[in-house]
Amino acid sequence: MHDNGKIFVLSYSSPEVWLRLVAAAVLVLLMLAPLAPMPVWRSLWIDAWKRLKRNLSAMAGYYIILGLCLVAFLAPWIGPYTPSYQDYAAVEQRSAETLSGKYADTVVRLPDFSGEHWLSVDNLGRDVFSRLVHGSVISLEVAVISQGVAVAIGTVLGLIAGYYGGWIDALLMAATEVILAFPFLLLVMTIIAMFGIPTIETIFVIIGLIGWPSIARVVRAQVLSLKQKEFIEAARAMGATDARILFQHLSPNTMAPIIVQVSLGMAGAILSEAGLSFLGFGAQEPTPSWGLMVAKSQGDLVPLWWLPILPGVAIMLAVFGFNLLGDGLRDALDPRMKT
Amino acid sequence: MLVYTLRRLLVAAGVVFAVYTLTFCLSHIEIFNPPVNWVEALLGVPEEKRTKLGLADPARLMLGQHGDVNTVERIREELGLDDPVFFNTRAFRSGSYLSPASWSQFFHDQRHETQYFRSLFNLLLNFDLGKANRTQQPVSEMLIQGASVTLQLALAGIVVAVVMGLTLGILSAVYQNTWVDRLAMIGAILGISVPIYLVGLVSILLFTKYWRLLPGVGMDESVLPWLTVHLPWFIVPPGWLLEVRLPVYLVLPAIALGVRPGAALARMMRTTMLEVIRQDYIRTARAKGLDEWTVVMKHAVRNALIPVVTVLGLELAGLLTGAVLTETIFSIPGLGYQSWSALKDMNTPLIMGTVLLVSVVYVLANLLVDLSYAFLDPRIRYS
Repeated sequence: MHDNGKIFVLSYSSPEVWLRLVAAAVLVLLMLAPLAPMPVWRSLWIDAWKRLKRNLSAMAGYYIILGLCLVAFLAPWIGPYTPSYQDYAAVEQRSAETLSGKYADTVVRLPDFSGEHWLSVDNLGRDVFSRLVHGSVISLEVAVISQGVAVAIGTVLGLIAGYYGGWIDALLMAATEVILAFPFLLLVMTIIAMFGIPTIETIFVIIGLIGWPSIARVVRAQVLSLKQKEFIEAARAMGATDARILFQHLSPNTMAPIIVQVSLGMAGAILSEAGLSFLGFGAQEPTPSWGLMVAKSQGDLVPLWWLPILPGVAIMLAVFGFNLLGDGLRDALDPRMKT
Repeated sequence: MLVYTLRRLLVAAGVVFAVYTLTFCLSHIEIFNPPVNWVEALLGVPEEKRTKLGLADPARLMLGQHGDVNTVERIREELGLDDPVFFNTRAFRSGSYLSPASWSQFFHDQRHETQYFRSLFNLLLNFDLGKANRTQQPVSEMLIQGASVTLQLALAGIVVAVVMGLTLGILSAVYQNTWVDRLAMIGAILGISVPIYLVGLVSILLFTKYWRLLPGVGMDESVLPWLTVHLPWFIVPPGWLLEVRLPVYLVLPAIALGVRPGAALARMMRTTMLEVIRQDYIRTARAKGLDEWTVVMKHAVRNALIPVVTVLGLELAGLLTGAVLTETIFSIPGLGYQSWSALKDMNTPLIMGTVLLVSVVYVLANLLVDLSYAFLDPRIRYS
């Protein structure tokens, strides 16, 4: 798969194309998963999945996220143009219409959607639909990578803080306080301003590095309530080492709150990346990041209002999906919390 | 209570100190003259190895890429940028480091000739935050200007958030599991999902550009009238101030800023209201024959107000983050816009001042929130 400047040329002999198709097939299977017959035995996860299926808004979130992943994996098929291809003719036609043509004296004009450019082109002549489609990749990457980093750090530190207690707990919780004490965006912006604008991958990691305290707190709270339980005492009586108790016995029991927190954290990460890109501290041109698309076209709000609004709606939809699913997961995994 | 407050204040001071030191380290890392070993990292990169071409060098930033080298030298000298960052070893390097005389020399050098301790002592003794790059305007002055603007914006945002949050939260709890509840809760999740700039741009598009009702940019108190907002009767108790006067230029920014905390508040309020409504004293109030609204408003809402304070405290960081975005969209010269432009221009003293102010505010606000629990709920005692 490569781009020839205008469209993606898909060569079906390359593994990437097939990997994308396989991933898409898996996603379609996941979309059909609620129809699958359930096993007769019960477990925490099976019960949670049953409760989740009954929750309409959670399923809406589930399908929004799966749809978004599908769009991301099939981006070269769905988005007809490469995100940086510029169609100068379309821009010229628009400016002719706007300056002296039929939209000469209107404040808010009708969008010039066409068969060639479904959601029109931006002020540099790039196809908005293709950019939105390819922007979903960035949003999902930031969600997955940043939360991966946050979980890796947060789980270990949360387990340690909760299990050992004492000064190490006090120190780690003070650290989370300090990190949470900062307005998130200002902290990330400060780091980025000091080290220069990094690559987009570095931004994913930075968002993760600052996102771990919420996960550490959840894990610590869970460990604090679990470590007095009998099964931990039994494990210790059998001579299990601390490491074994932490990673064999305690960490599986912290999965449920972590999953909920990750789902909500993904929503936050997408919002942070978009906000950073909007302020000019995140993705740089010509990366098709939704936040950057809003920033670069907000000057054209009048009369080309749909240029900043469409990517904004895309951000909202993605975040909405993760928030819905996160709420549903919390209700499903911890029914006592449900009101 | 007093002991608790004092202890919390001590911790707060520690946190602020840590934040200050961290920001200082971040902003004084020599990006373009990176230390190559730990000795250099601690003592600073020696003068002969410095390139003086760093983009983050304030003198370079003031004079530009093609600035005169001698002037750059002079400005670096004036601002004390060539001094060591943390440790001044002159007293030791002179050889007589064993004699107590060199110790006092050492402390003197540390106080006056290292960048970190000089700025720290200036801050603690003179409340001096230094001067902004380029303009040389005192940072404290700029912060006060910006903070007064952002305070107005944040207060207006809180008003929007409280009105929206309490209304949606109470309605959805009272009409639990009806379409009112579902609609309100979907609206609340949408509210925490929507990016601030989307709200801002849509409201500018509709109210400013299309209907031409409200100003969408800047703040000009002289020309514009005030907008009087009447709060619903069930939010303010009878006899209280029933209206809030918003400056017209703050209406759209306040809505953009208030949607997110408002939605968070609505969800919190609903959960707590549902808990409170199940309590025995609510059943008693109903059994007395009070009408439903009196029960809800006088007996339930008042007891459900504690989480409101919590959420407002937690959302403070969110409000300040939101202020950066809101002020950028609406071109409001507040703290957020200021810090955004400071970060873009690498205006180090201003960045440090802003971060310090923000962390002080946040720590104090958290303390106030914790103390107000005890005030709102006498059962909570701190010892």
